[in-house]
Parts: sequence; C-alpha cells; structure tokens
Amino acid sequence: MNETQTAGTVRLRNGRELLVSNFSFAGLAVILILFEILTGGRLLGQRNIMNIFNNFFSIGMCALMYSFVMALGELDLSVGAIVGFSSAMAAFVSQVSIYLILPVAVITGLILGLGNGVFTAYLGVESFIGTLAMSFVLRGLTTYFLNGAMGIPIEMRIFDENWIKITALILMAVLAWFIYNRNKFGRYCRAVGASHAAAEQSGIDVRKTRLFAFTLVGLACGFVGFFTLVRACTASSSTGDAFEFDVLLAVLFGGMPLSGGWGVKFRAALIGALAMAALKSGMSLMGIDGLTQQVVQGIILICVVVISFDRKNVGVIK
Amino acid sequence: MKLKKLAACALSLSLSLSALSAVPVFAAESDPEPFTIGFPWDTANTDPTWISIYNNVEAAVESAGGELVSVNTDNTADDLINKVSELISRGVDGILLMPAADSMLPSVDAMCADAGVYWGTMFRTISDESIRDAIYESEWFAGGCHEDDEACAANIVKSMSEMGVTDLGVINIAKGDTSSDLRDKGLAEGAEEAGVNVLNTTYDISVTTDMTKTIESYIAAYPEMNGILVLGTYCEAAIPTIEKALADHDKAGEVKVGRIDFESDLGTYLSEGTFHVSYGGQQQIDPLISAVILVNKVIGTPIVEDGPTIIETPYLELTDATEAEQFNEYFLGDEAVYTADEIKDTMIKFYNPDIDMDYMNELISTFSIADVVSRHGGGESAE
Repeated sequence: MNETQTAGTVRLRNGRELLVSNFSFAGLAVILILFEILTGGRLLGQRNIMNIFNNFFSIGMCALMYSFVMALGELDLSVGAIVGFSSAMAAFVSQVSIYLILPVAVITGLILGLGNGVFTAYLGVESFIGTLAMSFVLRGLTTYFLNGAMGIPIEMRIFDENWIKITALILMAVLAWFIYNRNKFGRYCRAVGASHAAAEQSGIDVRKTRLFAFTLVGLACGFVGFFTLVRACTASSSTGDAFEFDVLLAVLFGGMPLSGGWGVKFRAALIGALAMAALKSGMSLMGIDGLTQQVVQGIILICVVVISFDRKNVGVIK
Repeated sequence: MKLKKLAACALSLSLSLSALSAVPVFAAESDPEPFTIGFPWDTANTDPTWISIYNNVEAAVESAGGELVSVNTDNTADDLINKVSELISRGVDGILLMPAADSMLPSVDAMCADAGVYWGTMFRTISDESIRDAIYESEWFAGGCHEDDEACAANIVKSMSEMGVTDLGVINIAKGDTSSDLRDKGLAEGAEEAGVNVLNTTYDISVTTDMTKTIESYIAAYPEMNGILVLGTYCEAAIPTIEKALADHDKAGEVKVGRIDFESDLGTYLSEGTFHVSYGGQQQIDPLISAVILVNKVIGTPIVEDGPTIIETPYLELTDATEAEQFNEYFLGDEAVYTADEIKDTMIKFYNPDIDMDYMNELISTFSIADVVSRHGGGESAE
C-alpha cells in the first residue's frame, strides 16, 4: 500500500514537473490552435502574422533583457516610463538633428537602467520600490519636457520597416541568449536569484551583477523607445503607459517564476511575449471587447502563476 | 398553336427579365457595395457616454449596410497606431479614430495611403498648420468633426463667472491632446475676460481615487476656491466623485461646479443645486457625423468632392434637471441620436444626392435635446 502510494506520489510529482517545465510551449500551442480554429484560420493568416509580430516586437525585445532581472528575483516597474522618457528625449533632440534620435534614445535608456541598478545594488533600495519611484519621476519629467506631445519627421518611419525590426529583434535575442546561457554573467544572475548569501560566499559580486542586469533592461528600453517613436512619429506623455505590466505579464505567461533563480528559463521571455501577442490578436479577431479581454488575461495569469510559482522560495521575492 | 407559341415567348421573356433583375448590377443601384469600417475604441470603458459613442458610430455605419469592426485601444498615440495597423491587416475599407495628438496623423495617413484605406477623425481638429495642410491634401483623409473647444471653454468660464465664481480650480485631459490644449487656451481667455482667477489645473486624471485626492487638495490649499471646472477628463463618474468630495468637506452647493462634456448623473446634482452648468451633447452627434462623413467617402459618394469634409458640431448648454434626464434617456440609451433609418434617409448621399455641406450644416444646426426627444417618441415631453 505504501509502495503504491509512493509510486503514485512520484508519478504526480513528475507529471507536475513535466507540466511546469513545458507548459509555456503547451500554452502557446493551445492559444495558437484554439484561436486559429475560433477565428476560422485568420489568426495565422498572412495578413495577421505581421500584426502579431508588431504586437510581440516591443514586449519581446524588452522581455529578453528582463529575464536577467527576473533571474535575480527582482522586478523592474520602470520599463514603461524609461521607454516613454527615452522616446521623449529622442523626439526632443530630433529638432536638432534626426541622426541623434537613435543614439539619444539608447543612451537615455542605458543611463536610466544604470540608475535603477545603482538604487537597487548600491543604495539598498528594494527593486519594487526603487523602480516604482523611478517610474514616477520619469513620468513627471516626460510630461514636463514634452508639454503634451512632440512629433518627429515622418521620414523616420523608414525605421518601422518589418525587416529592420526583425533584424533588430534577432540581434537582441542572440545577444541576450549568449549572455544568459554562455556567459558567466547569466549564471551569476540565476545564482544570486537562487540564494543571495550563497552567491556572495561563492565570490560573485552581487552588486555588479544587479547593476549590470538593470542596465541591460534599460538598454532594451532605449531601443524599444526608439522603435515606438519611429512607429507613431510621436512621443507623448502617455508613451509606454502600462508597458511594464505587458512585459511582466509576458514573462509570467512564459512561465518565469517570480522567485527567480535557476528556474528562470530564457525561452520563457520569447514564448510568453509571443503567446500574449497571439492571445490579444485572437481575442481581437473574435471581436471580444476590452473588458472581457482583461478578464481572460487575468484568469490565465492566475492559472500560470499557480502552476509556475515556486512556493518554497516565496520569501525571496523583493 | 400560335397562341401556345405566343404564351411560350411571353413566359420566356418574363423569366429572362426576372432573371436579369436578380443580377447584382441592378442590386447595386439600390444599395452600396458591402463595406467595413474599423473603429479603435476603448471597449473596456463602461461609462455610458463611451458606450453611446460606440452606438452612434455603429448606427451610422449600419445605415448604409456596412459592418463595424471594433478593436480595443487605450486611445494613446502608440496604441492607436498599432490598432490602425491591425485594422488594415483585417482588410477594412475605412478607419475612424479619435487622434491623441496632431503629430501622429502623418503616420496614420501614410499607413492608410499604403493600404488604400480611407480614414477619418472625430472630436479633434488639427491645430498644427503644416500637419493640417498635409493631411487635408491626402486623398485618403475623408474628414471629420470637431467642436470649437476654445470658445466652449471661454463661454463656460463666463457662465460660471455670472454665477458668482471668482476663484476656480480646474481639471483637464492630458496636455498635448488637441482638445485639452484648446480648452486650456479658451479657459485663459474666458478667465481674463471675466476676471476669474484660475487657481490650479490638474491634468490627466483617469481614476476616481485621483479625482478625490485632487479635489481634497484644492479644498485644503485654496480656501478661497468657489468654483470647480472640469474642462475634460477620461475618469468615469467624475461629477459624482467631485460632489462626494465636496459634500465630505461641507462644500457641496457652496462651490459651483461646471463641466464640459455631459455625463449621466448631472440631472440629480442639478436638481439638488450642487451642480450648475455643463456644455456637451457633442459626444453623440460628433462621432455619428464623423462616421457618416467616412461612410459617404467609402461608398463613393463623398459629401465634399474635392477635399475632406470638415464639420463643426455645436455644444449644447445644460442647466436644467429635466433636460438632463431627457439627455440620459435619449442620448445615453441604446439608441443613437439618429437611428440607422434616419441616417440613411437624411445623411447618406447614395440615397439622397442633394446632400452637401450647406445641407449638413443646416441639419446639424437643428440638433438639440428637444429635437432628439421629439424624433424618438417623446414629442410631448419635449414640449
């Protein structure tokens, strides 16, 4: 009887582990198949594929670098504000020269990410609070600088070409994958996320690791700010609004545990962002109203967190 | 035998004629080709005004046999651009949107021109002269409606001044929004003319908790404040929230409250004497006429042949509780302010070739709460 019970428990545990480790793929497959059927084949139709890509692009690009912060068991709630501020600064300098738009957007993002890293790693501010405060500051500054909205020359839309965005995303993905999986920094992030004290005792410079992780997110936000700006040719005080939740939702959809550590899989960023883009597009194609879309996303998020949440490490959430 | 042949000929002739009558070329003369209009709108917003805007656009599109394809948006510039792209990919024939800023319009026009899709705007004028010139020259821009936001803001300040308001706290939509900026300008002009002191303006309040905090801050910081003017807000239930905050501080009735854009609870507060004046009504007629302009363009019978159709819709003034109740019933109900049949008969040029700008302006000049009440079965109450 005991042996039967033990075997049953092991089977259950194995089944759960299998589900947890692969449910991001399964979730994406379910979403694609379900909405492909429900929309009568329109979801993956030629016309809608690029639409899904455009929904996926910004979130995916940011989520790639967000993996490092998630691996640390930290959160960055300022990504939307950094996107907005980078975009605003780039629009601001476009009045001087359009050649400054890209470098200013990227450098602004980088500096702000660095700032987040300093707050978190060197000043000891919890990432949740520090990045939230940064978000408020940046939102205020964006409104102050733009005084509403500011346009850039329409010619800059050439950077909104799909091939440019696909190339940029691939380059960013390769860079992030390499750092995460083939560079000691990626391992350091997961080690710090798994156990801060153990990582420190192993000789890992926890502060530098945190600083670099937040800087990478800032860099990605700078690029997203640039591409957001050239798409709408407008920077406004609402640019990047709620983007932080889109990114967070995407990585959680992909199965990234909030607790960080070794359970954070790099693929989750891309799969989650893709699943969310497909989900939104599918619901939109079906004519589901915004309110119902929010409810559906909320329910799915609860299910995902219940499945992926590492309850043993609940205490390490910052 | 001859009679049989004659009968057979007559029968075949009649059958041929009836068969010919079923050919689409005859049907096309009685109705336009089927079409779809894309409409990015905040469908998560349950405010009756926002729902009524959707209903009015839908009535205009359906009046000519079209189908409305709606996608959810938060109405920011970035999201609107994404939704325009999505609607184009879904193959719509026209797109109607409420622009978040002038500077986003060249992008919208470029995307629509590339895809060969007509587009139009509602609620917003184009303030930037260079952008306006470029957009008005576009063959894909159908036109749209707007209101004289500047004059409206100036007028409501003067109305409040006549009620005794001297020190005003103001709420407005986010800076950069065309209507917000114009209303700010009108506020400054009206305040200067009437000698009203504008104490502070808070922008971009979208939730009731922030509205409460703002009003409480105003009460604490400006004891001399005797008026609150909502120039615009996307916050649901804005007036009930303001009234509650004022009542909590024993200021209800003492501080005069005004707002641009009607909302559903005004009647209650007007009858209680705690709310005083509102300019609005455009939230229903503007999207309806904007959709009519786009529909006429899409089906090949534009109201103006050689350029965009730009129509200015009037603000209605509301200071009476009875009118406020009628507004709730006839403007915020399920029915549009003009039904699909009324629109078909009076605003679609395909069915009524006499329609031109003069005709439309005359039609709109008769629009009022009493007009809607009388057309939709409330003739007696209108009198």
